[in-house]
Amino acid sequence: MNFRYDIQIKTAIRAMQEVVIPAVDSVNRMAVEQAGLVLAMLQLLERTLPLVHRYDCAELEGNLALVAELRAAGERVPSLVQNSARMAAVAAAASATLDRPRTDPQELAQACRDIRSAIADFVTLAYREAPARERQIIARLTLASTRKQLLRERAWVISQGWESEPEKLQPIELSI
Amino acid sequence: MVSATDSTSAVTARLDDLRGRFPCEPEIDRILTRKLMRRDGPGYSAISLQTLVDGLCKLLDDRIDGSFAVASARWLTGGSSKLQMAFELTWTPPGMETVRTPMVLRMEPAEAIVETSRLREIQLIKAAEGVVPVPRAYWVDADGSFLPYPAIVYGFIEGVAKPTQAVSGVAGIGTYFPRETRAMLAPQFIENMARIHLMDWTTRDLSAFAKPDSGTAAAELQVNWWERVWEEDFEEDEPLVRLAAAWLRENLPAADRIGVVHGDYRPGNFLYTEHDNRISGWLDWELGHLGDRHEDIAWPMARYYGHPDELSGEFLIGGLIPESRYFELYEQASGLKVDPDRVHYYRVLNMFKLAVIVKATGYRVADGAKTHQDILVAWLMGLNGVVLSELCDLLEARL
Repeated sequence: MNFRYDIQIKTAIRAMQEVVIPAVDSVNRMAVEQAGLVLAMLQLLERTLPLVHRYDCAELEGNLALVAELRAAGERVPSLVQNSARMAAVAAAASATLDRPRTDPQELAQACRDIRSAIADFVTLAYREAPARERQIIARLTLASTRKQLLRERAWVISQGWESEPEKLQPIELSI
Repeated sequence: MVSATDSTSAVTARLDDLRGRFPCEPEIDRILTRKLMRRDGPGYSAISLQTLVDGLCKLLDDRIDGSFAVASARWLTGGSSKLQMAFELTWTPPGMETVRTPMVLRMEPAEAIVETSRLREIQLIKAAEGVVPVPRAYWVDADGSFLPYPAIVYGFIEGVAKPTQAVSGVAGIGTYFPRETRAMLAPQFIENMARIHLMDWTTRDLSAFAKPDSGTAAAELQVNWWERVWEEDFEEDEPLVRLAAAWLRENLPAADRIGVVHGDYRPGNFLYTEHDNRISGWLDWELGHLGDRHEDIAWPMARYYGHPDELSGEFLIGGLIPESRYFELYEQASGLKVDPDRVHYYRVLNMFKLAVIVKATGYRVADGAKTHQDILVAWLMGLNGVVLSELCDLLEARL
């Protein structure tokens, strides 16, 4: 089956560029703006769609590592024990999803969401319950892990033009 | 099977919980409540210019004595949240001759990337008349009684939001002003901000606003507002946003003075006339409130609103003002002190707010097909990485 996303997106881009956009009424500014965004969105999709699986795997691996670090940081805080165990259970399930052959892409995306929620709950609780020292460690671990994740996210959307110094970002293909 | 009554009960229970956890101003509570009550309802259906003109005429019938005519209706772009239609109204204002007045209708979609009150917006624009350049505010349809959704009507202002030849991102992000334009606009940018903050708001009709008590209430109201929106709208959780919310609550600063805060004070939200580089009007007052001036001071400091100077390399706040002189220029213009710690706090709050808008609400409204420009709203979600990276930097500096 060669009727895949690549030929579908490629032909849609060409139609937008050569037929649809030139025909849009220039007085209708909303239509002009949205036609341009449709094209840009298709071009972004063309570049990133082949990388979605690798991206989700990289995000999940990063968050699994963060869970291990957070658990270690909070292990001496009694009020975090229960939540930490819950986070570990979510991480174990996510890890199994990551390692399972032929995992459905949607299961992987759901595992990413689940582990984000578990970490977010842990961080919220830690900020409320943990002593200052542990809380600071947990905050710093979260920031460090998030920063790595955000470098990927920014590289993912680099063609959108938000970056003031795009050349300083590692290309997404090398970040995942 | 879940009945409509069950569904309404569930939303009501959720609202009770949210109100208890995140107390907001009454008008903010009203519009956030309306949003959640409508969430499972229909998305936005394309509205023709004629439908808008028909609704506008019903509103004008109710508000104007005598005959009138609406002509030259056309779409405007430039914002990311509201529908805007320019038109010309031939009418006879009280005590005047018949005139032809260029105006703008600004209407909400079914749900917007920022859910706000048209009543608050028109009250603030009226309050700012004679203080800074603003469009003349005419009428409000606060509940959508005449138009498909709530709307305001104000005067059309000549001017551009960015240089005609400029290349910039959507919604005014990444605008580049040439040096000579900057030299003219920067002093006005600062002066206008100072004037807003010095405005005697106690003599204006701001009945849709609550005045925060002294102390930390101003900051707390804002954290409550945006944390409530996060809870209502997020689809994918974000540990950094949770960390920021906790930090903001623990570090609430006390305001030394309560004043009008524009809430979205930045390039892209003012118009200027290119022939003389004069600011002709401040727009987008929908996020305005009574609070701490440091929130406005911090807002244009977001890195993606600025860029380095071509010659010196120094960062320009909002693409206009050298970072090293920003506080000093504001203090000179206003006579009010700038507290760098409070600026830092509000930079964190502002990035938190932006993260809520682009990551949570942006996804929610685009996924629900709630706006007239879902593709633009979805496009703005791409800003999340830049916003959260700045939030990381700001938090790290205080941990």
